[in-house]
Formats: sequence, structure tokens, C-alpha cells
Amino acid sequence: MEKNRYTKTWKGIGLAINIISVSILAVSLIAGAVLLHACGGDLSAILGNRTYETSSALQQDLLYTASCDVGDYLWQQEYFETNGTFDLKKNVDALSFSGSDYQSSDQIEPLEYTVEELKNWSGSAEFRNILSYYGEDFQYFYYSGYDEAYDDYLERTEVTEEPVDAALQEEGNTAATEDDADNTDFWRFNKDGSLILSDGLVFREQYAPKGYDSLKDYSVETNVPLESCYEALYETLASFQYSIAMYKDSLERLDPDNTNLRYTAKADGSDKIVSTNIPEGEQCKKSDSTFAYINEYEIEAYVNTDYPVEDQFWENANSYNYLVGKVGIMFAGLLAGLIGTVVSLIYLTIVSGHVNGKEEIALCWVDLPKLELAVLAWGFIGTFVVLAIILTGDWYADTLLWSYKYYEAASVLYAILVFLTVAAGAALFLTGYLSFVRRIKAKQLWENSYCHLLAGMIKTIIQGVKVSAKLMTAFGLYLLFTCVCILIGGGFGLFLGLILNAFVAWVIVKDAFARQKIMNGLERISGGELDYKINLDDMNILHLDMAEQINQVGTGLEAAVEQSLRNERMKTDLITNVSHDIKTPLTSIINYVDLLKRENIQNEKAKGYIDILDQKSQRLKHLTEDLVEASKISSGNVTLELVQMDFNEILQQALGEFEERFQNRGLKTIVKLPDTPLVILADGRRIWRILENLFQNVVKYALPDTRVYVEAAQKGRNMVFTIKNISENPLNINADELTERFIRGDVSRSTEGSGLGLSIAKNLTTLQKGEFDIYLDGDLFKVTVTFGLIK
Amino acid sequence: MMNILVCDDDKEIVDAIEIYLTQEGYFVWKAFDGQQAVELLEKEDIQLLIIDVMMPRLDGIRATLKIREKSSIPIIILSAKSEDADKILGLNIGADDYVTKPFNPLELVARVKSQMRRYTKLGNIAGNSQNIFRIGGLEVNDERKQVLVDGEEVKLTPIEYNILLLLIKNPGRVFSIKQIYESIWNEEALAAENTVAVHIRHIREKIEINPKEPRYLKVVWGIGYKIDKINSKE
Repeated sequence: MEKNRYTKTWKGIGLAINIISVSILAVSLIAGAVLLHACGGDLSAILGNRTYETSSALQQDLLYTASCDVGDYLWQQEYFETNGTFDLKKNVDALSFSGSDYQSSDQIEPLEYTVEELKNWSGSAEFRNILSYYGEDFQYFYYSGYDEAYDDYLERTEVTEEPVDAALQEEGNTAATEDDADNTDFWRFNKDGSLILSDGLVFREQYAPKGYDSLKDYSVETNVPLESCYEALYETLASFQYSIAMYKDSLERLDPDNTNLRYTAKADGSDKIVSTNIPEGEQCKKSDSTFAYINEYEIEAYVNTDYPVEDQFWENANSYNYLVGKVGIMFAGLLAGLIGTVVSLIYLTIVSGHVNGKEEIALCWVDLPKLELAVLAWGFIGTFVVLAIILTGDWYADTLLWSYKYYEAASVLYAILVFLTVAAGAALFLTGYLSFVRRIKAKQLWENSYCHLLAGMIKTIIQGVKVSAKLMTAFGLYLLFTCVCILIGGGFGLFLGLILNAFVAWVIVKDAFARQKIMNGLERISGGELDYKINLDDMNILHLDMAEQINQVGTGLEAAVEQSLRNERMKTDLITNVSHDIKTPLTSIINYVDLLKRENIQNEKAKGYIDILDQKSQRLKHLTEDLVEASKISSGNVTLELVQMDFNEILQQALGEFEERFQNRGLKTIVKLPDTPLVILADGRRIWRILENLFQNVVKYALPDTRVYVEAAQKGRNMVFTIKNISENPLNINADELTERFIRGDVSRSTEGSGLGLSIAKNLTTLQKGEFDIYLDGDLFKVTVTFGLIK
Repeated sequence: MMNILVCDDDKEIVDAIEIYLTQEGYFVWKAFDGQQAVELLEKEDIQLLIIDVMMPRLDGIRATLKIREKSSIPIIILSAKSEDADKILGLNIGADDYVTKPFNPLELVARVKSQMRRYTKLGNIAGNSQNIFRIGGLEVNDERKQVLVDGEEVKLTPIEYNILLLLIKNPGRVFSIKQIYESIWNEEALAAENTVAVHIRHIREKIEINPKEPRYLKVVWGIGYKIDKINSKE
């Protein structure tokens, strides 16, 4: 069942779901953004399903309108109206109108002209000439034209050496000061006080300020610098036409027949209504009021929600209510899109590359190009797609905003466009993303790139060079980089230097790890694990050789040990085979000698012969057995079963076995044993063999009717066992030779025994980590056997 | 008339054994390889098999395995392979006894007799009374204070009897000399008492065919003495 996950159908479905989901998500997101914007960012409104009338969007719109439109109008009213009507005869103070540094006060009289005068003056061809000559930004549509005018202006405002009009100076007029030296060209005055502009233009006063003869007159009277007066006047005139036009606009805009906005303005702090546009006795549905505080006015504004006029508020209301109605769809789309995208993306990530029934990751043509190429191509195409998405998204957002009125069909169309472009984008993204995933899964990400190729080439080059050369080069490079870092200096150089050293540190650590691995390997191999192989994965190039060699050594050792073992086995086989081949005829010899013995042979000589045959054949039998045993022991082919045993116990057992034989030879045993057990770690049967051989020795070679001293005791950490007896025959050999194989005390070798007894006993003792000693003194024969005690 | 099959590739050995056995009153069949032995066994009524290991055509081990599929007659393996491993193998695959070459003819005959007795007589004895202790062919009847080895009575001294009883009552358990002494004499063991060891040796001489290779009363060197449990093949 599991495998079904990987079928092409499921993958195809997954892809489709993902692309569709992402597109839906995108559309929903854009719609959501538009909605949010339309609602003035008030999420609660959307969720609470409010209408425009109760929303904060309306409040915001109101505030904006109140502050800007109404505020502007109020300012205009100040200058242009008396008692609520346009008054041509109203006096306008140019100082205040232009926002000059000098304002009318107790000391300074206002610089006044009537509205009519200013209107005529500013509209006159003469002034407009000056205005256009000296340029205002908005007159120049093309940047190059503005540039020219500005250069012109700069030229014109150069410092000249023309002195200021002496006449003015004489009268104590501070019209021109040294500070103004830069601008004297602009501010040169005629004797009559009119302003000389360059190129023969003169700023002629068409009207005189209220209560004065001329500007010059005013300037002298009020002590306001002449230039400032001209500046104020000029600014006023320059913007007057515009202001009048704006005023006319405001009138229209705030006319209750043109708008649903209703406002009331009071001077801050008072209750007197300064301005309002509420028609007499109007009854209507009202929205909540908004209050704005501008220029010392308190403005209260609300919207007539009967919407007698189809104004901006009406439009906003429609748009808002329409969009809010669509919240449900938008959310649904958002949710579905989100879930669909995430789930299908996860699924695709997991499933990508796996194919039914195959272990390895399946790569498609997209995964073949090198990583760098793939990324570049993906990015390149992606850029176009992203641009397309942005474009279509923008159009969609726009049309959606107004979709209630004009563009319902268009908005759907654009929605589809967005859907398609996003789908294309998602498809492209998925291609790239899934290729990335597949590459990672198949471990092809790094391997299938140019960088990897390059690294491989470098590696090959490095490997070809001998160790010392490599080290010197590496060090040289390190020095070089360090110098570079130092030269670069500063924070960046330090940063580079740190990175360099971090890299070196990493190399050193890796080196140490590699060395450790080698050490471990050596330990284990020398400890006997001859088949242990050092793991050669990501071993430093320098150490790779060493590790390989060590592994070789291990293999060599293993082979040698195998060889040695085989030799041993051959030897053992030889011994067993040979002994078997000897024993078989020997068996017949013994059997037939026995049969002969049963025949009642009268011939005494024959009987004697038969006895000898019997003896010798028995001796041959013993010799063969001893020989096999001695060979095995001396070649170490004995498996010991070491257990904790009591030497005390076995000695008693052995003595019991030999009791009769001692008695038969008249040997009296004097035994000295401790009360406590003497626990040693040994093989019980071998210890018995040792004792058997030693006692057998005593039986065979001791002088009859003498005493035999048998003693076992604890000495320090060891157990010491001794047998002392008098030898029947003189011993003309030293102790060492006795334990050699085939040496017997009886040099004539006439008695029984094979001469191997002592040799076997000694070998068995040393095999079990004991000590075996023979001491000869005259006829005294003393054997000492020592074993370590286990407490 | 008891029939014994002797199988060995060495003709002289077979002939020698034939002489020993016929002297004891058995009828001897002869075979010279394992295959022959198997075939003969199927044809003739035979009560005991003596078989060598190293033989052509079918070796003694494989022959024993084959024979054991159908028959439970006593099998004595006779071989020059005398290593412990060889003996263990032989006994494990179904042989009742293992004699190494060169062998003592008297010993071989004694073992044959013992196996015969067991096969013919003792196999039929049923029932375990509380006071009769049986291990293999060794029987200690505590009611009658009697010791039987393969059906024949053996005379033991009271001390020897007690020691044997102690060991056969606890098959598999190893008793040290000290433990045996204290159990029998009911007093503390004094140092240098090899009385027990001597007694053990006497018992062995009496009940074992080959005291050097005891079947029942075994020495665990350095630890003590025991009588092993023997798995019966019934």
C-alpha cells in the first residue's frame, strides 16, 4: 500500500494541487490586501462585517477631507471672503500671505493690497512675463528645459560689483546689506525704488500698498528691508492666481449640492460658527462625526449617508460594502490556498524522486544540468515570471477596488490573469524547488556542480604531489593569505584573517582525528585483532597512505598467523596420524603376545621369550602414548580448562592412588599439608598428570624402604610443593639434563619408563604458569613445583 | 548363544578378538568395513557390535549413526584415536563404550560381558524403589545393603559402602575429601587424611572394569569425587 504513494498519478495530482493552491492563495492575498486597504486597515471591520457607514475607513476619509479640503477653504476664506462671500475689496496682507520673515505687528504695519488689485496685477501680462521669465518648476515639462532655466538663474544671481543704490543707503534704508551682496544683481533698485531685473526687465509697481505711496515708501516707514517687501509681494503675486483658482474649487467642492460632506467650523475655544456648509434645516441620516483641529479652528465633519450626491464618499461606501461582502470568498480562498499549498508542498518534497519499486532516486532532465547553470536559468526565467506576476497583480488590485462599479467583469478577467501568471510562477518554482530536493536526496546537489568538478580537479592535482611539497605549498599559501589579510587591514582584514585561521584550525582538527583513527587502528591490530581495517572514509590525503599501509600490515600479519596456525595443525595431524599408524600394528602385537601367553607353552625358553615380547610391547605402548603427549605439550597444542582447584585436595587424592605402589616398594610417605585449602587456577587433569609422573618417578627410582617427604605450603603469594626422596641409582647428571626429553636417571635405560615423565611434568607445569625445579645433591632428589595462589 | 559382530579393517585384530570372544562362549561375526557391518546387522540376529573408526567405504562413526537409527544394541567403539574429543564424539553419537588401542584383551572381554548383561538382563528391570539407587550398570540397594555391578554382586567394606552410597545418592554432585570424611565419620577432618582417597581407590578397583578409566566413580582432580548421572537409552 505504501508504494502507491509514489505513482505518477499521485505525483501529478500533487503538482496540480500545489499549483492551483498557490494561485488561489495569490489571488486571495491580493484581494485581501485590496480589501484591507479599502477598509483603512481595520481588520475588525472586515471580520465584523460592518458597513462603510460604521467603519473606521469612513472616519479616516472624513478626517482627511476635513483636514485638507475644509482646512484649505477656511484659510482661503480668511483672505478672500467677508461674511461668507467673495470680497474683491478685501485687504490682503502680502507679508502674511507670502509667509515672509517679517510679519505685521505693533511696529510693522501690514503690506496691504486689495484682492482685486492683486488679482489684476498677478493676472497682468507684465507680471506674467516676469513670472515666466524667472521660471517656476511647473512651467517646465521637460527636465532639460528646467535645467536651462536654473543655469540661467544661477548665472543671473552671480555676485556683481555693482554697489547698492547709494540713494537708498543714504536714507538709512537697510534694504541692502552686505549679506545680500550675493543677490544684489536681483535686488537692484531704480531711483524711484522699482526693482531692476536683468535683461532690461523692471518690476514696476502697478499698485501702491494701502496707505503708502510706494513700496519704497512703505519700506522706509516700517523699516522692513525693501528686498523683503519685494520678496513678499512677488511671492504673493506669483501664487495669487493659483490661490484664487483653488478658492473657486473649494467653493464648488464643499457645496452641499456637490458633496455629502457636512462640516461646521468654530474658532477654537468659542462656540461661534465661523463656517459651515450644512443647508438650512437639512434632515438626513448622519454618519459619526469627526473632529479636526487646524489653524486654531475646530472642524466637525460628518457624511450625509442618504447620499444625495454621488461623490467620493458614495463611491467609497459602495466599494467598501461590495468588497466586504466578498470577505467570505476571500477567506475561503486564502485558507484553501494556504492548506493546499503547504500540504501538497510537503507531499511533493517527500515523494519527489521516489519511484515505485526502485531504491534509488529517479532524476529527470531538469536535474541533469550542473547546479550553477540550473540556478542561473531558473533565476533568469523567474525574473520574467515575477515581473509578470507583479504586473498582473497590480492590474487586478486596481480593478478589484473599483469592481463594484465598472470593472466587475474586468476584475474577474484580471483575477484569471493573476491566477495564470502565478500558476506559471508556481510551476517554475516547483520545477526548481523539486529539482533541488531530488538533487539533495540523490546526493547530487554538490556532486553535480561545477564547483565540485573544480574541487575534484584540484584534489587530483594535490594528490599527485609528494607530501613535503604539498606541505610547503600549503604553508606558503597560508603565509600569502595572512599577508594579504594584514595588508587589507582594518575590520575586514581581521575578518578574513579569522576565516583563514578558522579554516586552518579545521584542517588541523581533521588531521588530529585522522591520526587518532590510525592510532586506534594500530592499537587494535597490535592487540591481536588482525583483521581490523582502519576506516578509510574521508581520510586526509596525507594520512590515507599511512592508513592503507597499516591495513596491509594487518593483512600480512593475519596471513602469517594463518600460516603459522596451519603449520601447527599440520604438526598435530602428523602426530595423531603417525601415532595412529603405530598403534594399529602395536595392537596386534600385544594381542597375539597375549594369545601366545594363553597357549600353554611348555618350552621354558619360549615362555621366557614370550615374557620379553610382552614387556617390550607394553613399553612400546607406553612410549607411544608418552611421545604423543609430550609432542602435544611442547608444541603448545593443549587446551587447558583452568578452574579454581584445591591443591591440598588433589595431593590427597594422588597420594591415595599411589598408596599401594609406595607400600609395594616399602616407601614410607611423610606428608605435611596445611589445614587450609591451597587454591590455584589450573587444569585439574594436568595437575594430576604432573603428580602422577612425579610419584611414578618416585616409585621407579627411589631407594626401596626409604622415606619420601611430600610437602605443600603457602609461601607469600604462592603455593610451593616439594617431593624429596633418595635415589636408588647414583645420579651423574645435573638437574637440567634430567628434564630433557629421553634422559633417564638410569643411564643404562634398562628399566621401564620412557624418560619423558619429567619432561612432560615440567612442560605441563610451565604451561599453567607454574615453576618447576629439580635439585640434586648426592643421592637426594628434590622436586619443587610452584603455583600462584588465588585467594 | 550370543552373537557379536566385530568390525575392523585390520584382519589380524579381528581374528585375535574372535579368539578371545569365542573362548568366552560368544559367536563372532566378522566385518571389515562399516558398510559390511550395517548389512550384516540387518541380516543376522546380533546382540553386540565392536567397531573400529578408521575404515574404508563407511567409517565407524557414520556406521554407528546409521545403525542407531534402527537398533539399540550395545556398541563398543575400538579405535587408536585416543583423544578426548574422539571419545566424546563416539559416546555422543550412540556408542555405549569406547576402548582405545592398544587394549588389554581381558579388559575388552570384561566390557563386552558387562554390556551384554545390561542389554539382556538389566534392560528389563523396571520400577524404582526409594532405597535402590541405580546409575548405568551400578546398583546400590540400600534395603539389602547390596552393591551390584552389571548384575554381579560386589563386596564392599562398610566404609566403602557408605562412601559409595553417599555419592550415588547425589549423582552429579562433587564431594571433596573433607566433605566425604565428615559425612561418613561424623567428625572434623584432620589434616593429612588420605584415608578417603585410599578408600576411593579400593572402591574403584572393585566396581570398575578399568579403575584407570572409571565409568562410575570419577575423580575431579583438585576438587573431589563424584558419580555422574548417566542418560539411559531406554
